[in-house]
Amino acid sequence: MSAQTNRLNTGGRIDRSRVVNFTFDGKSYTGFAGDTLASALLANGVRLVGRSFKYHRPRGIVTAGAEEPNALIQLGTGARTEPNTRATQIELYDGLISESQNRWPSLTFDIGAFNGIIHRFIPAGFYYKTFMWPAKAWLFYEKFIRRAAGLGKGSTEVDPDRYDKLYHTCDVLVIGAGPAGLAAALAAGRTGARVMLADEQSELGGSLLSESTATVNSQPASNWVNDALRELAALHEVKLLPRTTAFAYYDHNSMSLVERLTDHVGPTPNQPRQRLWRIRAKKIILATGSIERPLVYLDNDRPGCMLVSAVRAYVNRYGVMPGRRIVLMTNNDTAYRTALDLANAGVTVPAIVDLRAEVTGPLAKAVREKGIEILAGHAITKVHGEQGVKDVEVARLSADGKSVTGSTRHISCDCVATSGGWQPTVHLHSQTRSKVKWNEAIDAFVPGDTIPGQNFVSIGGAHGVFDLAACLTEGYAPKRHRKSSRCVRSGSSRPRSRSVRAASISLTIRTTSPPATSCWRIAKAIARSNI
Amino acid sequence: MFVINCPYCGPRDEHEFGYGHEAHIARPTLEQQGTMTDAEWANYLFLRTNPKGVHFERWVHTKGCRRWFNVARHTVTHEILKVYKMGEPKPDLAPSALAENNPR
Amino acid sequence: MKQAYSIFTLVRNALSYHQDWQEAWRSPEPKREYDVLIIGGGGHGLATAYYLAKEHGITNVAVLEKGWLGGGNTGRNTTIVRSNYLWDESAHLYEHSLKLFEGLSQDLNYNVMFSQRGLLNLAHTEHDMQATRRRVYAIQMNGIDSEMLTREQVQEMVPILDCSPKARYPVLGASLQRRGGVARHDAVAWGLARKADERGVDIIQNCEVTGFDIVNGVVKGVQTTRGAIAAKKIGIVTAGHSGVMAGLAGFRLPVESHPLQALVSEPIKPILDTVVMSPQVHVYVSQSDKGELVLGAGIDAFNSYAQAGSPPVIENQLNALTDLYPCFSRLRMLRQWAGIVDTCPDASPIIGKTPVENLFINCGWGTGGFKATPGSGNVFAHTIARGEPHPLALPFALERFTTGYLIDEHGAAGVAH
Repeated sequence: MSAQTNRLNTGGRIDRSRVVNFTFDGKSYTGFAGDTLASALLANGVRLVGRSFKYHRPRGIVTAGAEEPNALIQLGTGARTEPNTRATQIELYDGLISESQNRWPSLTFDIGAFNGIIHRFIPAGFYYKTFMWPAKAWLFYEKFIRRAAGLGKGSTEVDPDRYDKLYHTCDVLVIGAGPAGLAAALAAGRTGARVMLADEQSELGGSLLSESTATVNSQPASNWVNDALRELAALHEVKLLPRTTAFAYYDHNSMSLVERLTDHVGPTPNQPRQRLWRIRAKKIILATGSIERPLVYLDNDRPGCMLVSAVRAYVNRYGVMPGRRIVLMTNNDTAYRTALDLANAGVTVPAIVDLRAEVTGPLAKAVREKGIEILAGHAITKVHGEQGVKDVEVARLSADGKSVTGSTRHISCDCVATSGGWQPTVHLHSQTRSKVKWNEAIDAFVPGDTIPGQNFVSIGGAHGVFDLAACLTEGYAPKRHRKSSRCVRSGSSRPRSRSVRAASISLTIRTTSPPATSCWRIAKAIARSNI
Repeated sequence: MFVINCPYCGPRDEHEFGYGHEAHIARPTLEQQGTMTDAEWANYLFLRTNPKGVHFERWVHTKGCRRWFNVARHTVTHEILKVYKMGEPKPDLAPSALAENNPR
Repeated sequence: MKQAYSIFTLVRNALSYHQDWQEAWRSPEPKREYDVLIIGGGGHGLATAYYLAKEHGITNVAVLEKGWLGGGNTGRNTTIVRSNYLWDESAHLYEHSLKLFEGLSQDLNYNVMFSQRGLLNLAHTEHDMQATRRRVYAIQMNGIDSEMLTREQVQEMVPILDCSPKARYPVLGASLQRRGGVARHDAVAWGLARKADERGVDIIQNCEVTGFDIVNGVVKGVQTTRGAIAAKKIGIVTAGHSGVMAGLAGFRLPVESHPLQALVSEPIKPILDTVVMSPQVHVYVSQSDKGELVLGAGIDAFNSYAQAGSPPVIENQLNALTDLYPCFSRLRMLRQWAGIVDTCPDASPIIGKTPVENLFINCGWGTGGFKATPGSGNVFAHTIARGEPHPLALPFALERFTTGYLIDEHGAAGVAH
């Protein structure tokens, strides 16, 4: 049993008094209650967790949430085994058994990596260009292709678990319990309306759960979250649904959600494992936040390559350092707060590589004061270390950002975190067949007009508002259901701002500058420089 | 999943209802049937407007009052513009809401 | 002549990092006039253009597609290919298509991944068994492969299917078409596009037809979002939007457009080696070469152009799926979507002339169009080229609704109706 070498001594929302035992690829580890499988693996210094679909490239943990692309795990055994489960969404329970997928004979030595060696001969869609001769041989070729495909293994036994379903109606359904969603639920709940608030996470609070410095009313944001939750729990007509993912938005404001009842405690006979909610609401508020975008450089999929927000979450929420020497690359200010959090936790940040030509302001100053080098007008061009980041190559960008100049510099590190700005989570909006539109200022798609016949609105990060004060303000604009089902057609999907009830709340403005707009051109420049 | 406002029972989920296809198709009288051509009969039996836009259709509340009624619904947005009783005339909706290209 | 696809050219191009491949098809500006216009750039439209060029030497052709090539039903179907239809007329037409599928990859020099892995139709009651047996005999009499399987034989072919006596829906037997299976839908569209383009066909995407120019009952051309285009002959191949096109041309069709939903699961290692349909329990399933379970059932009852349906259709078919295959219960569904299917009162297509001279139509394939892609394009090309219906297409003329010679294939459509 190995110790949690990358666990920070203090901090995080985990319960250090409850040790949890689990296994990964047959090896035993410990974590704490409140960990996800991802945070626990990182705490134990495990970076390599899987292999890519086709080329079997070594892959690690990239994010701290539902958007995780690489840490796909075979969870459990026998009749309850589940393939392709994201380590970032698996709540750790005692006795959890997990395995990596798509590798043989082992994760570190995988014969499938041969595909990676010959990748040039098997590019995307190569199978359309060959396997045509002899004509009758397709079924033969197919046998091998099929065996190589798929990621995890489906169970071959009868599912022993039971599932529940429930219909419900309400006045206001809020999806997402971050600052905007909590504010909206509060505002609606206080009017006496029947409100349901759903969030996919085990704890409500959204982005504020990973915050270290944000304040509301000059108090730490977590105080505001706790107060809000206490008040919501006491409101009779308000129902809180944690661990509940809204997965389908249907006609006439009906939504399907899945609530995970026992997945976080492991196999539990005689209790429904999950519950399907079919909710029809007079008004739906999408407060689904946004997803950070990674930046592009050669071999940016190595274990140890992560998102800046993920690093921040692991440090602040889970008390884990994803690495001991973490290089950050960014085109906006988000990385600077993370650098300060890392420095305060005792983690070395050799440099912040900033695509922007000039970096000034109080955050930059604070970072420099911690002894962290800021390489403005630079980019990471390549990462070294096949089974885990060892070092990065950094180069200066030309003035127009279209090419890389000068010689490269090597910086040794074991983790690279990038931030390319934020993309609002528009999935549910798009499911209604409402369109999205490009917002030049934040370099992202935001919800466009809502389709007639659906009564919903996107607030906060979900429509490109990233400032905490603004998110809270949007949430608080009163949210009673509207009589007419004809929706707002003109302009954006912002709520009509009647007098904001936030008058009694003086909000601290957190400085967040919008992301720079040049990340795509930079990516091209880097790609070109490496061919 | 639609919510349909049954004129007799109130708003109910779509799966309580049966779909009755296009409304306002008058069945030819016995007399007319005697003198119709095959083409006219086929017209009545099979030809439909199938609009990409507002569709005037029939629904029956199978798992409720079991009565038939009419609905004006947009076939792209699924917005229900009007529910009206069987026997009532086709409602006058704003021209911009109606489909073009539907000779009848 | 386009650069061929083969293991040799694949290796050669690998040495130059695949930067030298020729584009699979051009994106030319539309000319102001063509010999033939095909409206609709899905599988059937592209197949029509391909066969016009290949078998009739007609190459001054443009395919007009309002969206992107193959983005309609061709990209949304559940990829099943079979020819186990009841009536002689349909049996011959679908079998014609199946035979073309058998050589399609070689014809197109594009691997459409046509996997003849066998296709089962389950029978769950005595009546099912009788009806299935009758169909098997009828199909055999048309010279098409079809056989009855016992419960034991079904269990052997599909180990994960619950064939036990205590199953919710007991399996009594099944019919099997060994030559049936699946093909990669996108590859069919892309392969046809590439070969049609090679022979001189212009494929014009982002070009929506907004009107027809008809003079004295004869069509002369179309109005589009990219200008007016004149043509001697025009074929409408727009599936769910056939009624819209017909309306623009001043006639109506016996067609209703409905949503047809489909969904896929997360990719898993091989677990199902054939295609299994159950009309009674109402779901059909196969496993793609990527490892995803591909699932489908029936249409939503209401008319719609939304490319979206209601959840009960999905929930009911997943109920059915987990009753038949209890081990699938924990699999996550990854993507769900819908197409717009143009259904006919007899579940058979409409191929041939319209009330407007030189305007032809190929539509009404409803839920069963993908399997007919090459066959449909082939007979429609003949119809347009000769100005008279291909013998296999003749029974499917629009006139049959007036004469009463309907060809009712709801039984063969099975689950998907």
